[in-house]
Amino acid sequence: PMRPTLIILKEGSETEGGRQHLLSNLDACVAVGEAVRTTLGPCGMDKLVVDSGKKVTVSNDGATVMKCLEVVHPAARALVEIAESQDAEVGDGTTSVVLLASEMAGLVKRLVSDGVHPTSVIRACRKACAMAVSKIESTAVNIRHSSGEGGIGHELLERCASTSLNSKLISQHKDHFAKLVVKAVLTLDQESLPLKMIGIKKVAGGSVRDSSLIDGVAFKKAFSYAGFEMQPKTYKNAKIALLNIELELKSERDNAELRLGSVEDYQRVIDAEWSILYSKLEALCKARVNVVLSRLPIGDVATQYFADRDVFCAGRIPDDDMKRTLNACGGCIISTISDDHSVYGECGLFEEVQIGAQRFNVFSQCPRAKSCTFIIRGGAQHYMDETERSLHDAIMVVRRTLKNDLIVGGGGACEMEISKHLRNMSATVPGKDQLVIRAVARAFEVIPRQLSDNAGFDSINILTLLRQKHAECDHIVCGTIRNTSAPIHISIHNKDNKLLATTTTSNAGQFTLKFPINTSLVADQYSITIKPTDAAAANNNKDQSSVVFKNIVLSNLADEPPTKLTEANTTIDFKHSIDDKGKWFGIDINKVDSIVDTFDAGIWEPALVKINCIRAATEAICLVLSVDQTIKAPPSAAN
Amino acid sequence: MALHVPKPPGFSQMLKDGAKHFSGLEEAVFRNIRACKELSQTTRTAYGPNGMNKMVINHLEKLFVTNDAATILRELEVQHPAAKMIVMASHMQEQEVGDGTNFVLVFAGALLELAEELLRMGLSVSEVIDGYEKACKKALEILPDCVCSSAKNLHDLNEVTSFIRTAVMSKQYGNEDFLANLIAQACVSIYPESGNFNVDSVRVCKILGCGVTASTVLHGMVFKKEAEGDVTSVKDAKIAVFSCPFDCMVTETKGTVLINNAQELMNFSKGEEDMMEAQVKAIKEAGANVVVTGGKVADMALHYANKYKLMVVRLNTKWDLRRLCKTVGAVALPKMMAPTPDEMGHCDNVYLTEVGDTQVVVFKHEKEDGAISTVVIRGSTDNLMDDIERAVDDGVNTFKVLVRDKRLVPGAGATEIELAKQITSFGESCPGLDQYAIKKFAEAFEVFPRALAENSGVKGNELISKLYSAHHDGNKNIGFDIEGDGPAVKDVLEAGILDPYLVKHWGIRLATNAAITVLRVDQIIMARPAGGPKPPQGNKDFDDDD
Repeated sequence: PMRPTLIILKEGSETEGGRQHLLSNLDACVAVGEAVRTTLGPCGMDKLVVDSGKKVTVSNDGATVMKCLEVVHPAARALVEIAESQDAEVGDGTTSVVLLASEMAGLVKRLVSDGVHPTSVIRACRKACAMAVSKIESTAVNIRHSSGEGGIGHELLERCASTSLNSKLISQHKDHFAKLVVKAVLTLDQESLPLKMIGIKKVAGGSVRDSSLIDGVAFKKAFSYAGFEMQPKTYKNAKIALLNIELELKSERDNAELRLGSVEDYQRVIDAEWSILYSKLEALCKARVNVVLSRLPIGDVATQYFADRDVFCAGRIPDDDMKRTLNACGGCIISTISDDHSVYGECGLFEEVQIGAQRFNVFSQCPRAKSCTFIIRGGAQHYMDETERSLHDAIMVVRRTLKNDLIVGGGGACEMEISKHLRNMSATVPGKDQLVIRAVARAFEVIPRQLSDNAGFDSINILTLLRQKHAECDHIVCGTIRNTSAPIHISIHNKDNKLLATTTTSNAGQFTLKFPINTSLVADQYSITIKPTDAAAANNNKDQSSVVFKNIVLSNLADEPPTKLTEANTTIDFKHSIDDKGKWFGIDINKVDSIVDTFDAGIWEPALVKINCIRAATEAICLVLSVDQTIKAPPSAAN
Repeated sequence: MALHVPKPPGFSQMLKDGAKHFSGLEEAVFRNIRACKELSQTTRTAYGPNGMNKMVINHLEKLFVTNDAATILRELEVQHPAAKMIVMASHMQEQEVGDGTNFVLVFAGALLELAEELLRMGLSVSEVIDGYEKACKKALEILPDCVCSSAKNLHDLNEVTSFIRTAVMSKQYGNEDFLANLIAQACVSIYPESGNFNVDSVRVCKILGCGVTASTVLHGMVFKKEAEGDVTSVKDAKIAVFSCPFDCMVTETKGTVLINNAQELMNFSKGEEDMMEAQVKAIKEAGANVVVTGGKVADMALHYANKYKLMVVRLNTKWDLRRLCKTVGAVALPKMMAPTPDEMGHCDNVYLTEVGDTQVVVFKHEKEDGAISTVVIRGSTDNLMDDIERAVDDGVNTFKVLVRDKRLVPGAGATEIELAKQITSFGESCPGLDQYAIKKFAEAFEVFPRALAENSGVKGNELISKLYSAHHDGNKNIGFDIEGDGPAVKDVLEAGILDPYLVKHWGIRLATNAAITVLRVDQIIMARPAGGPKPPQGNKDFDDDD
């Protein structure tokens, strides 16, 4: 019946709901993914974004691009947020996370439009996420262990750094920068690895390869009054005062007032003001300080004074530079001049150097060198900005690797392995969950596919190569046989009685057998036959002439705990494991249409980056799926 | 089709121009009922573990993604006067027990929907109200019989986890075990022997990054702040708390420093520095090694704090300061002075750490349980974390309700079906026309299992008939099995799906009251809004009713 509409909400409120709404939300997520799709990987292209303030950003960093896009769609904003969250948590892999989420959205959308209830999709997505994370945890390799010693070697860290840099603008120079990044991170305090202690300074001009790392602190020379030219520019074993006081003539307090009776008094007050300043300067010189840095301005009287006494000074130093100097050189930032020598910092060499068109103050050979500075050189400002972002990502990756030393294969290897694992696991799950998990499994393939697309490779070809390689798994069966005296012959047959593997052992009765997995099934049946090698032995132990362990079920998905099998007096301590030898295979970006073992090639990524990526993408998709209605209140008038 | 509003000449003459006036069943009562019904239909799809989220963009364009009815309603700004009444009822529920807001809305909506049927049948409004009141009284009498379990020891982590689980489940299905455990830890650790539990003592700190499962709980407090000075970690901390800035005292009265001669000028700033040093030194000598201040920290003071190895933390709000005082057992000092041992707080560990890329200062108790615990929520989006915060809030409130009343009733629709069954038979024993109303009241309870089923994609009628048959066999605790296939049922007591008694008790009471109040209205008079009505925006379907 026709009825007048009821106004329950404020005028101007908009509501949208229903399945169509959910589908359009998912579409929005896919659209966001399209925007950053081409930036993934070593051959990813850059985006040039002009934001509302007409500021130009050139970047292929997912988080940066997403931020610049200013997405307003409420559902798609979830993807922007996960990119930011990835940036905050691990600092790298921001494009991957958006891409993975958007691919999941696309594949899940089909299921939703086919009528699967969103809540079942959510539940299955979470299940798939848990499976994927546990798969990463089981495939990841602890590089601390593999490097033998307690510490992680430079070379290993450099590999992680260069994998991260590989996908950045400066990938041609990754060997150069990877070394610098690792060196930089290793100079930090190894407990907390404070990011702030790595300074990044950009100087226009020169080539990128001229970029360097200064073991210590460097910053742009601050503004100085006349007189600084006469100050020396190099000091050895410099003593550094870090001040938080103004070395300038000024009133001691704003609300102070002088009441003077005579001209002499007036002169004395003027003298007093000068002597307050001079007493500070004198105290500094008496403490044999060579370099004076102040957070606040240093006036021209002081500059002149210091120049006369071969002391270098610089005022108005930015706070973070002061802090880094403090960390590198020791001492503390002082507000009063004292004779206590512990408040002054030291460094082996202080110099003022010309870098490009700018002069830099450089503190090196610092005793507490827990700080370092990158000097980025380059032609264009955008280029340097992008270099800075790339270095940040690489630094974060190295930091994460140091804190959490599990690594997985890059180049899509990890994703392919997860994809395979999920696809296999989906076969064990009944109901609609199976479809969803399979869809998620497919979603993971987006990473290798996009990597090869961006590189201009034939992605279908590569994906099939990778799938095949990852599917190559072997059963490894090892065991100890008891109650045999003679050397024995062991063979394994499948249920069609086809011989798969065979071996002959010595008396000890230990054996190891390897045979490929038949991946079409979750679990396979096998039989193990044990025969003594020589006929004589067979005659002596009649009951053992041929022992068959029948119908042994081996899982194709996971290792099984050791078991004991018994058959006619003979026992085997039986251990089964799966060797998925293809798990490290990923795309070889240097060679057209080919794949490579990423572990051997040193294309490594911290497992944490991947785990976080999967968790964040799943959470975002679940969030979008769980919405069935959008209600928009009219913006308030003040807005 | 334009709404035909017949204006009785008598009444509208008395009112100002532009005032609207509606009266009678058709105009007033049914209109109100329809408004409430529409509102409750919106929140009904958000009921239960499989309830869908709503994306609400409020008038400040902030985005909320939630299935928490209280939040949806708060941000929606419901305007319809009758709908507002049931919104108010759910607010009262929120204040009274802190959970079950959606229960009130859905139930009131169902009651009104069925009342409309009764009225159309020809019952008078007062008969319906009578019946509803009688039935409500009866329901509250029956409810204690439904109690199937009761909390024995609220200090037992496992037991509390199992009770909180149901509340969390309806907000964060899939993460309920993990979150319930966190919340239970947070609650149990600060639940004193005396039995007074303050909801405010469980704090939440949201830090972007990682995933929900990386959330943690700790005894003590977490602030998204950096330490001001060089000292970033103190073990076995003695904490001096100042509500004033960490600076030398400044006179409130405006004054000038009078300097008479050069010597005074020379000594002036020196004197100020010495005074500062003396103050900081005194604080240090009193045994403190952490200073917390509510105001800003002067550079000079920080210098001396660094010199004397004091850790300095600045907090922004008075509330934070007060809560910190409570956790560490300190007294906030109004001015810079050395604290006495009593005035200083104690904490095992105060340190600056990095979570994700956020710097946080943690005040942590290792051994004895502090007065405040903090749930650190991690998540990949702000909206998600906000929603988890609401889940934590509900969980904590559930704990509070259990402190007040330890009884529990079965969840998952079991209690509702039992009530429906018993009230129906009660209704049949009642003579008079209110029998119809009582039976409808019973029928209204069916809305809960129906909503649970429909939100999970299961046919509601099938489930309800299954539940009824189980309850007629005397299985009081049979409810909807949300994990099962189709309309499956199970014993929810065994499954541990339990709701606090008080939540149901107040929910039924408040919803019935709200429904009755809405029914009692027979006239609506709306004065013309000040400033005149807004002109219609264009001609777009102005006359179209759809």
